Amino acid sequence: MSRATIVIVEDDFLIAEDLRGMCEEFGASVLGMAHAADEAFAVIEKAKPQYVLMDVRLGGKRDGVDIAQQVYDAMPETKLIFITGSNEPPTIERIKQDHPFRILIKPISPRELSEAITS
Amino acid sequence: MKRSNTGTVDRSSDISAWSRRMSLVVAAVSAAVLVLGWGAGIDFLRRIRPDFAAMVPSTTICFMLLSAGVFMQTRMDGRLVQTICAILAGAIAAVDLVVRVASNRGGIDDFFVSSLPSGDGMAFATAACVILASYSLGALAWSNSSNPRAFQWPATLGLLAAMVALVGYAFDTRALYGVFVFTAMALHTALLFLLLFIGLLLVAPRQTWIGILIGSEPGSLGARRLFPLVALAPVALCFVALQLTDAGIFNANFRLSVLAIAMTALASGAVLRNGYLENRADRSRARLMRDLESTSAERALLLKELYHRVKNNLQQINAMLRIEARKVDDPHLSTAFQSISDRIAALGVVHQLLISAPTPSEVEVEAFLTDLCRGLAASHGLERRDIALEIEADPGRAHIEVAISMGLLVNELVTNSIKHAFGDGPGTIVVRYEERPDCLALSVSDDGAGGAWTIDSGGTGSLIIRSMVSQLKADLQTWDRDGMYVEVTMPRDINQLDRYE
Repeated sequence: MSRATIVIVEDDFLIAEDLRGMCEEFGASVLGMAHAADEAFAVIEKAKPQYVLMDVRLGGKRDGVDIAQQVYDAMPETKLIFITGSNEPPTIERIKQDHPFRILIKPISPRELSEAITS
Repeated sequence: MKRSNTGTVDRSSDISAWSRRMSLVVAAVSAAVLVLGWGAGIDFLRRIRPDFAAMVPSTTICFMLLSAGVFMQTRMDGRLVQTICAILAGAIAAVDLVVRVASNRGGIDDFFVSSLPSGDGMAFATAACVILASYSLGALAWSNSSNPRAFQWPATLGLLAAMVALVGYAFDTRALYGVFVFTAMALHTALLFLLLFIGLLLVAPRQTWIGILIGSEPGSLGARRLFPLVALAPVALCFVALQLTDAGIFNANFRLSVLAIAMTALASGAVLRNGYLENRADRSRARLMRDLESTSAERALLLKELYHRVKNNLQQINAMLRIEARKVDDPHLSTAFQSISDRIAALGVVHQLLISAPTPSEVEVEAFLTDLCRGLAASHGLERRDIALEIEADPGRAHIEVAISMGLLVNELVTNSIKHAFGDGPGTIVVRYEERPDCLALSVSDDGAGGAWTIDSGGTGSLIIRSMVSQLKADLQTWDRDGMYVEVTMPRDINQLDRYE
């Protein structure tokens, strides 16, 4: 199997770095990272990854679900893995309308992530 | 609030001093009338003007008794003296009434004062006022908590009667004397009654309608502004109307029309002003409520923001730990990093739930344990290892600090079971929370091999368990039978303990 390619969208730099470490640990290739909603789509469009790890809360007016919609419209083949801090029904419902490939609830373990990407 | 209360208390005691002064004036004047008027024969003191009615000796004695009673009331310890004064004064007035009705004489004074001019004697209105004052004084002396306001009604009635007499003197003395009951109430008798009844009402102003006038609330403020007008204007109006009629400008019936309209205007004005004030007070109250609500909402938002930040910080700490952990090859060290990471995650779960909690510092225990165990299951790959982690929780909430301690406890106990109970095989771990009548019970049990763990193992996990058990003022019991069973029982009121004192 070729190496999975990934873009990480996460507003917290440390957590983004942790995610990058996790991905690299099981042999995925992180093509880019975005830390704000405004730059996320540009990074994803440029890198054209197989997977996007999308944090739902991005600390701005638009959140991960909005970006994901944009990504799906432009590149429907991209697999969107949502990472959310809450499993509240309204959030999950919104994500589900966005063609998610997987939804991971924080805290996520390396194993969960690897299972999501290599499955 | 506190300040205004103290203020009114001070004002109350000032007012009581006035009550004492008034009773002294009443006593002094009536004593002077008795001694100098009747004793030394100074007629001015008896009747002010030769054509006025006189204040008879029995009336002066009643006044002295009643004013002594009022004076004693303000001293708090004179209940007995006061009761005796009230009974004596009331008895004198009652006997006088009986004598006047039964015989054709001028009351009891006739028996003692040989030179009493015919027609002099205690007026019916005077006797009635004395009886009202006695009753009021008695009610005041024996007032109890169930009806502390009873004394104000006879006192108010007496006050009104005295005022009728006084206004009668001001308007037309002959007209007053034409009314049977008021015939022979002396001018100074009416004045002394005015003082006496006001003094009575001022003994405990908070328990009378005077309390409304002296209060510090907005209603009292409005009443204070309006009261003099409403109380004095009708008298003034009537006086003017009377003068105009006497001067021949109005006739008597037209005077009534003018008075009727003037009174209507006055009363309407008072009602409207009251309505205006009430509206204004209500508006300011509504504004205050809105301010309070928005402040409270801001606080709640701030608190949620704080929880959010704490949660983020914990996640950042966790991220740093894992970044560091990836650099070490030592499996022993990796396990240690993993344990710390799990513990930090357990703390994070509490704050995660607090962000969306309906009460600012409590979490639902079941949701909390579910989220906590989901994290543990993910972290240890329980699904892959075919280990089930089940939650059975009674409905209930836990205070943030209790939840944190419970979370760390469950984290350690479940981790122990995961590590030691099953080897490589499958199994079930049950986390149970029960609200029993006598305690709150938190337990973790597994169906594994058992015997792999003791509280005294000396590891960090054991230390955390012991610490959290102490923190929760709890007892810990373990059973090793068909697997491990650990139960922690906390005091029933653990969530209600004051923590911020």
